[in-house]
Amino acid sequence: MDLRRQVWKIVLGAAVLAGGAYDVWTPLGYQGVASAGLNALAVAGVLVGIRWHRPARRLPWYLIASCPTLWVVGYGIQQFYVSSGIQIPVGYAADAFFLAGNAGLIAALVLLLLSRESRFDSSLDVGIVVLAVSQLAWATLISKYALDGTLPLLGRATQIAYAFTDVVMLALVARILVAPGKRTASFLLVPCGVICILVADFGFNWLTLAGINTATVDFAPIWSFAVLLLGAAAVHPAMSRLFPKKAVRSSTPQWSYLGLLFVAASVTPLILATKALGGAALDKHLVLFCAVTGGALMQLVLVRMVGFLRAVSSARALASQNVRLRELDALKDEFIASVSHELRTPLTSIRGYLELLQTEESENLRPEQREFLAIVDRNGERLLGLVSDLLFVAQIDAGRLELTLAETDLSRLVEQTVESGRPTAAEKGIRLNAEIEERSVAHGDRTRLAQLLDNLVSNALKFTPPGGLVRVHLRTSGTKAVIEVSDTGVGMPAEEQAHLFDRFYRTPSARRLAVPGTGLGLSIAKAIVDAHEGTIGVVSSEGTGTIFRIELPLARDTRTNRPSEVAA
Amino acid sequence: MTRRDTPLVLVADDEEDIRALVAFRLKRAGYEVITAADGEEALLLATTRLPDLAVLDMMMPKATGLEVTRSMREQETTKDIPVILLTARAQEADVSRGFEAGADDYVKKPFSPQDLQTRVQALLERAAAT
Repeated sequence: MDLRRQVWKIVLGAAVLAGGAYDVWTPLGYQGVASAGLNALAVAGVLVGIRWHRPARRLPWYLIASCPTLWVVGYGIQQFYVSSGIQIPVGYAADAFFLAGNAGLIAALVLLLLSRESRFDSSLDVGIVVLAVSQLAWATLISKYALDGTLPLLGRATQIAYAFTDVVMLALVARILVAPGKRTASFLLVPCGVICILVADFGFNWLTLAGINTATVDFAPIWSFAVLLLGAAAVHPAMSRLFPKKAVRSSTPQWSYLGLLFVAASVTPLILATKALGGAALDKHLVLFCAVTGGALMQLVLVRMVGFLRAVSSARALASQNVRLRELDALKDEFIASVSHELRTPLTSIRGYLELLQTEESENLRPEQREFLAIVDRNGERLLGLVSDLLFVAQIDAGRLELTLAETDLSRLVEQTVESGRPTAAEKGIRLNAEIEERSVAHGDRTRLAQLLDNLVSNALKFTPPGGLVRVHLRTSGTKAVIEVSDTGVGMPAEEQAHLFDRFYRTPSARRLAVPGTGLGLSIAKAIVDAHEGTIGVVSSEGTGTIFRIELPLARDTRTNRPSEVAA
Repeated sequence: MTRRDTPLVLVADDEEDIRALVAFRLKRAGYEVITAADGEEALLLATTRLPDLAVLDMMMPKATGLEVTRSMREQETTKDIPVILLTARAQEADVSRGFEAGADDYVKKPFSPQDLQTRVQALLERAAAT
């Protein structure tokens, strides 16, 4: 539905309007109610987004929704205090809900980062940014709260907890912004929302510490605007792919990430230098804190830098290896093409002139000469078959077995194969039958499937003694066509069957009986069946014969009718 | 295109044996045959002698069968001459490139001279009918 694709803009517009004109439309003394209402709207946005866009993972979105939900409760408590005219203490029940909301958002951000980066590297990175930002926070905010003896313990703990969750959120957002993956609207709106929360939090703290009465400067619209950005992220269609089931990984190192490392590494000296240049006496808590966290920070940066440089060099090695492999592949293609040309050209002359001799000059030849020419002809054909088989195998190896797919009547294919095998069968005194239970049509490459059946039938004829029987049986079973090529030939023991489809494998009995062949036919047959997403198997026992069974998926609209039997 | 009593067929292949084989078979079938050993010579003969049909090998020195076909299609005097390509490369891509260049038929090497003659005859009959 089109509205569903556009509604995020409406939410975004509502956020801007509500935030910008907050002081105009909010009745004095009811800011808590107004904020609770906007937070409830954000929650509704997330829930509607989940319902509409069905994201791959819902948990992160519920965690995002938990933030405004808990804040609604917090604003409710705040409104209660304001309405009752009670002085709001530092560190009261509402703070617990606001902090819990922060925690839910942090959990969602962790999941967002993990869906884009490896657990180990991103943990190190978050550690680095947390250390760097906590130095800033300590220098600017926390140390003053921590050392403020006038505040009660709960109040101090609350302020430090706020600062701490802010530091962690900032670290996560900084890391997420340099993570790989598509920058969709949802991807950008979530960090933007968090950044707004942080701006309001830090602003609020600074003013409080500067001794300015925060009642005169209202941060509520910024916090509400922030959660509405989260709501807009959730109703945007891109939300469904924000937390993919399978993590997005970048194979190439991100250079923007290197900038983050440099900034993080410069924080400690910058703080100390700024403090020293500011003329203030360096307080020992700050120096101690910076020394400890700065040391840990440097070590983490070093570890990550090593990992980063390694990733850069391995990406380079991989790139040059890829170039080399592509060159080799092109060389191989060229080789196959030229071998194909070089082998076929002399064969053209041999077979062409033979044909001329056998047709044009036939009456001038003695019977013995005609027989010799027939032998040359047969062997020329065999050589050609071998060249074709080798080229075919090379094509399979190169992953280029191209199928020209069309509706292929398997019944006709079986009939034609049997028809073309008939002269050889008659020569050897073997009965060759096509048994077609029902007409079946497969979605396949006609030429390749004909090659497959030819291979199997000529194999069966090779291994069957005179007086034997070779049958090609076609039936359907469910959504599959089943073709069985069975013979009453020499058969083979189980240990030979295991290698039957291996390239160049020839059974000991084939060698013993001097049956001509290269050992490529069945491996080609298997490749053709595989390319058609079918299966091929063999049942055989020594002395009684062999059955090759092929299963091929039927074309969808196959109609089955006309049971028939075409016998020799 | 000029109509002759005995159709003139151009046969171009860098392999002398194959050239002779095709020429022999076509002469026996009653055609007049001119031969070329490379692409340039083939194009020269095509434009000067205006044969009724050309049998061109795909892989020839100086200009490939594809290039000769394309050049023939670009010129007013030769654009309607039927072309049969001989290809030793069995890849489907080569065949489709041949048709794209403007060839009318193709024959895969190794081919039967009888089969080639049948195709030559069919194309000449089709050309005569139009």
